[in-house]
Amino acid sequence: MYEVAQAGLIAASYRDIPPFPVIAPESVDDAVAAMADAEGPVPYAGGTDLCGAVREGKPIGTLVWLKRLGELRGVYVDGGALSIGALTTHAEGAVAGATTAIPGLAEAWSKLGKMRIRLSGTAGGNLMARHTRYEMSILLTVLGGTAHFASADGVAALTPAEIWDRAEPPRSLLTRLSIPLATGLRLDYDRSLRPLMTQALALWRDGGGKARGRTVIATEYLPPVALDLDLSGSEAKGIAAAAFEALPADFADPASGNGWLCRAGAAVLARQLARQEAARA
Amino acid sequence: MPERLDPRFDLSFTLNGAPVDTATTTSTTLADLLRERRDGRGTRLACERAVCGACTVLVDDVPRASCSVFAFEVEGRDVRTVEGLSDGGELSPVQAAFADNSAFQCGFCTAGMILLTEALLARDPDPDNATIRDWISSNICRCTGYSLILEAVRDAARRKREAAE
Repeated sequence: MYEVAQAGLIAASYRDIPPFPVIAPESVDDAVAAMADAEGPVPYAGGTDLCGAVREGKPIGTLVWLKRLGELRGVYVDGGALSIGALTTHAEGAVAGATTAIPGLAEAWSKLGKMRIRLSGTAGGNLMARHTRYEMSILLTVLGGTAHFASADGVAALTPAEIWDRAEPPRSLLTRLSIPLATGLRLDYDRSLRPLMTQALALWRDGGGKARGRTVIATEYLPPVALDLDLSGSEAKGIAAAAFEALPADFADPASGNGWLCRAGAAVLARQLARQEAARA
Repeated sequence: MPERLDPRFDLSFTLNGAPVDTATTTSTTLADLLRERRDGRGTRLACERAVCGACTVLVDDVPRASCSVFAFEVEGRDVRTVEGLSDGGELSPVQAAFADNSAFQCGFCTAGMILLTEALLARDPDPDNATIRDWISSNICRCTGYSLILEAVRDAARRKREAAE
């Protein structure tokens, strides 16, 4: 799954970047229209990644600056789901009242990036940057969430895995993230082994009251992989070891071999399960 | 800012309290715009990836890595750089605390660290150690090992509180 990045890329100065027209729409409808009509549209939100990407060769035909779209900011509970506006900054999301609808999410979100980044970096930008070291994709994957895109052709909901596959509709705009609020949904987030790996655990009850769980593991170089848990056993180490037997054999990178990830991942998961059990008791 | 901006345009903003009107391009970063001015060389450029924070400035009191902010974003906004902190040649409390605690070595990160500290203390005049560490870890210092910077931030907070009393 790991691919060596293209070598020989030399970043450019802004002086080498041709100036581009900027559109600053005041509504989502106007932004969607701009994405549909403008030449080579590139959405621009918090401003933490795009300049670097441009220096490394990302072309901009027209910059669609989203700063004025206040309707895409904020976290709220809507129809049994937690809805996160794509322009919600990490600093805003971590302290939003609605974020507490999923125990553990606020604490996890507060760990993303450093404070200078948290004040301007957005949930949507983190996801769409598609950097394996970024974490919104891990959180959205473990919580079973989707990302909603608006385009001139309508609205589409994609899983994080589909975003990694660049399956979003052409010329679309990420508007919000949506996480279904399953009964008792809670999150345990473990960054203690970063940058080698990051691991998340979600626990909930299905419609029949049965305990369900999912763990997600990602590394500095690999996008998240989700593993479903069989919680019928009572012993955390056994549940964790069984889950990591399903880790794909090619899930490995130059820093962490598959065997190490299986072993370390199972150990972290067992600790997370025990921690959640203790919190419940 | 109008809803559409041409690639070359006239930019107006406030820099350290003074109005600035200048012609620029949409691909110009704020850091480059500032550094092309004779009075803007205190803004350092290092990683140019918004990671190290050497180029930190305050845009409407929010710390931003100016290497990764397009200049057009500051239209109508208030930008503060390290040049705007002293008053009549007298160092600000944060600047004085950094100087008195030797919170620098090569000095390349210092302007960004000072502006980050200004932003922190504007939000939390009496931050605990964990909060200071959380904020200061936003920027990279390769010389001091951070301990002297942490002392300077604590000292700056004390000086600002005393000045306010």
